[in-house]
Amino acid sequence: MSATAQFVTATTVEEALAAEETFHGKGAGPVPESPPAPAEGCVGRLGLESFHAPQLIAHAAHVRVDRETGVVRVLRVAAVHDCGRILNRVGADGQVYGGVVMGIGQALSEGTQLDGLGRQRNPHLLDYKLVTASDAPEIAIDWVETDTPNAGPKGSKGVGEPPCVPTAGAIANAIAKVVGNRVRQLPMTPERVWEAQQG
Amino acid sequence: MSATAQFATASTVEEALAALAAGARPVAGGTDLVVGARQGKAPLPDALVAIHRVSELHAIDGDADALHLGALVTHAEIAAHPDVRARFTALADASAIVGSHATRAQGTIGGNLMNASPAMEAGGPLICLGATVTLRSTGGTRDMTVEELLTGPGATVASNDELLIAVDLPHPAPGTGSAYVRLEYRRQMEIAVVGATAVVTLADGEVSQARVGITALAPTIRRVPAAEEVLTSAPDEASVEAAARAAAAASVPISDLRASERYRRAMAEVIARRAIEIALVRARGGDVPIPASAVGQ
Repeated sequence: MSATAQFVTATTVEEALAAEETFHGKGAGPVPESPPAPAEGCVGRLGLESFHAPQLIAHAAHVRVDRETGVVRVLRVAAVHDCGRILNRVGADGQVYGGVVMGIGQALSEGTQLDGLGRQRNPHLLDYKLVTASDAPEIAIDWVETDTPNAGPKGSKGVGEPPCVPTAGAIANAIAKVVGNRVRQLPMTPERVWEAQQG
Repeated sequence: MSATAQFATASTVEEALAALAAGARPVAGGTDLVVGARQGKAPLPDALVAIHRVSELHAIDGDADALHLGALVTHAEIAAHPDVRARFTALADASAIVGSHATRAQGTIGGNLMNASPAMEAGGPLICLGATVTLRSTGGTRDMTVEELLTGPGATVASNDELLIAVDLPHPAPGTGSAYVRLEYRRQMEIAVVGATAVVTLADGEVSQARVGITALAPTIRRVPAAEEVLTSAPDEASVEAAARAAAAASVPISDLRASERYRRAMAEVIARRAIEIALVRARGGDVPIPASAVGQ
């Protein structure tokens, strides 16, 4: 992270606009023109220029459901991604391992619980249940390297966020197949899976 | 987190007792006291006496009649002890799954008991295995059962100047098998939402004695006499089911962020049945890996 040379706090919109700084994301204000992007590469406004090339992903999950308790264990996940040309196989695989485990947390255990005033009831790792290393399943990874117009450097595409997107859906489908009913809410906690089985 | 005004380290039980008599509270592994203070549950006491260097409280040994656990024996030490694994298997099941690896390496049996959580893993096995504790103050020593020690969530009969010195477990009769099973949402770093203990003794193929306990299902960990009576009448499949139903009926669960009252009550029956079944297998000489909670998971 680079240091910020200047920092001011605006208290009115006028002050903020007068600072003539660029506000990214949810901010407001003038956005400068992009610097000219080279024919290949990710350099551009917000780095988004190259992302007109979508990734295609399929995940498959093998789960075991304890039908008496609703406890779900993910045994294997197969993750196949088309993220264009893979420039660094070890790094790309790492993104998928991490993303799949994150997706398992979204699917089964990670839920922010709020009280009536909007305060978090589980603001610690005892009750906000991240997936532990002991819960990580066998993860099989494969890559489909497709030539895509508008791809990034050397024909690559992004592999940051995509690996955690389809995992919960695959797990939800697997649970529905075992249980016979859909669990319509994430995370699919043991109690929700158990409730779904009650019919 | 408030600052503790006074902090002293005791190297003998006598020094620790003198500090307690002067108003200090004891700290050993700190896994409840320090974490609780950070979470805002309770501020740190004004005066603390660290007892982790009191070497005589680290002992884990036994004689012909009983296994002796000093108050500072850690969960990890209990879970790894050959005698515990062979004869007090339910306690090994419980000690092997307390919190995380770090909690088990740091947390002590004495601190665990005196924290008096109705969700503590070791409590059910200790109660069902007939464990006693020794409390000592500058005024004297008294012994009692773990059942008598625990009176409510976070509450014990001990007064503030008393230190838990040791836990003693009488050797179970030959033919005894035991198990502690906990409902686990994930494989590590869990806390009991529902737990159950079973200790059964077989004589000539019949259950001559049974103990069933429920954890995190009432203000204190408690035995279920109705379940024990059913099991001693005839150990068939129907009696195991009936005992499990009795365990659920004896539950007075709460609803909170971890589970609803309804789910907890339903799980009480499932988990109690699994604990009884595994205890019976072990009593017959069958090998069920420790911790029993991992079976089938």
